Amino acid sequence: MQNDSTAKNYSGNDLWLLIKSNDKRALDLLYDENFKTVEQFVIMNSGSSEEAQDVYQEAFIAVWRNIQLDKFFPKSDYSLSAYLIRVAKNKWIDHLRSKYKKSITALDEDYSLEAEEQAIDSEDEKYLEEVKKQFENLGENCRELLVRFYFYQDSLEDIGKRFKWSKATARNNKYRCLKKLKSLLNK
Amino acid sequence: MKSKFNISDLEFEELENYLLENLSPEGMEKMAERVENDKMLSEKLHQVRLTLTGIREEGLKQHLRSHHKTNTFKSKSPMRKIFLGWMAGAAAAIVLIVLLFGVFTNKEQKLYAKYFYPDPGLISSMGTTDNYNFQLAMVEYKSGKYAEALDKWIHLRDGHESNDTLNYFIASAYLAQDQFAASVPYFEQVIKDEKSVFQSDAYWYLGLVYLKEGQREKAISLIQLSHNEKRNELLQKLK
Repeated sequence: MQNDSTAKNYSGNDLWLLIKSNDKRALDLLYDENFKTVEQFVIMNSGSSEEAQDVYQEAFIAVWRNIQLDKFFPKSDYSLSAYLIRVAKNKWIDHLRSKYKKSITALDEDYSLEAEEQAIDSEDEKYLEEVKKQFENLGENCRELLVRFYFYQDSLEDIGKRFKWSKATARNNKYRCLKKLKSLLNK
Repeated sequence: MKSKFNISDLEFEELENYLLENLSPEGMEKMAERVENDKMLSEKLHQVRLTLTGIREEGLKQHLRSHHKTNTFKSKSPMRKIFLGWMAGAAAAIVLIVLLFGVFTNKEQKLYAKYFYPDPGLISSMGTTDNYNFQLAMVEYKSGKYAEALDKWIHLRDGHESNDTLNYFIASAYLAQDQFAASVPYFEQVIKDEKSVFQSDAYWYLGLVYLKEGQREKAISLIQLSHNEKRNELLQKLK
């Protein structure tokens, strides 16, 4: 049986499936497994630990998004970690390029990645950015409720307990919050 | 995304339920068919998917921020060493308890402990939406999250009661959690299916269940029918 202490104990497919289902343990494992590598790279290339955290989280979200939208399929056990590291490194290089306005060669151009990757449609990207922007315009309770339901996959019963609502009220409020978000998106 | 739709609340909910796999197996099939034949509905489904992804992305952003603050990246920190030392001590204590327990258990139970290991599960693949939940449960099973896997498989079994793969892994998930009695009817159902590739393994595990329960003769008769590589070795010890 697999030990759950490291992301490397999952096969590429297993980890991909767990990340796709937003399994918190798998997300945390993948995150923890690769942060130090990226941090080291950023620090060795004129950055700080705080900057490494920012660029790494940005890369992590980009990788997660590609998995959610079926734009990335790993083909070997370690390619998910390799992919995450590559995205983070290239993001840092892009950052340096724009900061110093000079040509810096990407270090991983010949990186052999055993995976299939497709770009996200630009209209999709635009719509996603709009969803995130309008999400910020929702009230605090609505934001927490929707995150708990869709990301943490809490049951309506548990959400009700958190807000001291009945399950039915939690369901109604979830409906209202989503309706509000949709109306902001349709403006 | 080709165009942005003003999706009605009802339709949004319907599409959301499809994406969250909250529909019955028949409902899922019907919706998959509708999406395949209706281009506009397929685009609406994509829009709903993007909306939910955007919400989740905000959740992930918050989660990563708080996770980063609370986790232990400093792998060489004294706290981690203390924790690992404590873990090693706890592991040693557990081994000692297990050893002491072994002295007092009977022969059948010892043999069960020696020969039982949970079925390793199937290799997961990038499945289609249809078997996504099955594969996800398989990953959970292989990660030791037996209860979570069991929940999904039991739900999937509705309307597919004779599916030997589901019956076998439901039984295996029960057994891995030491729920011996609960595993029995599922193993028995697999055994009845002469064409099942899991039949031999079902004989083996059901035999082990009876061994654990102290029913030696019944255990022998079942283990004899399996093709497990350790069958003869175990039978030798039972006779």
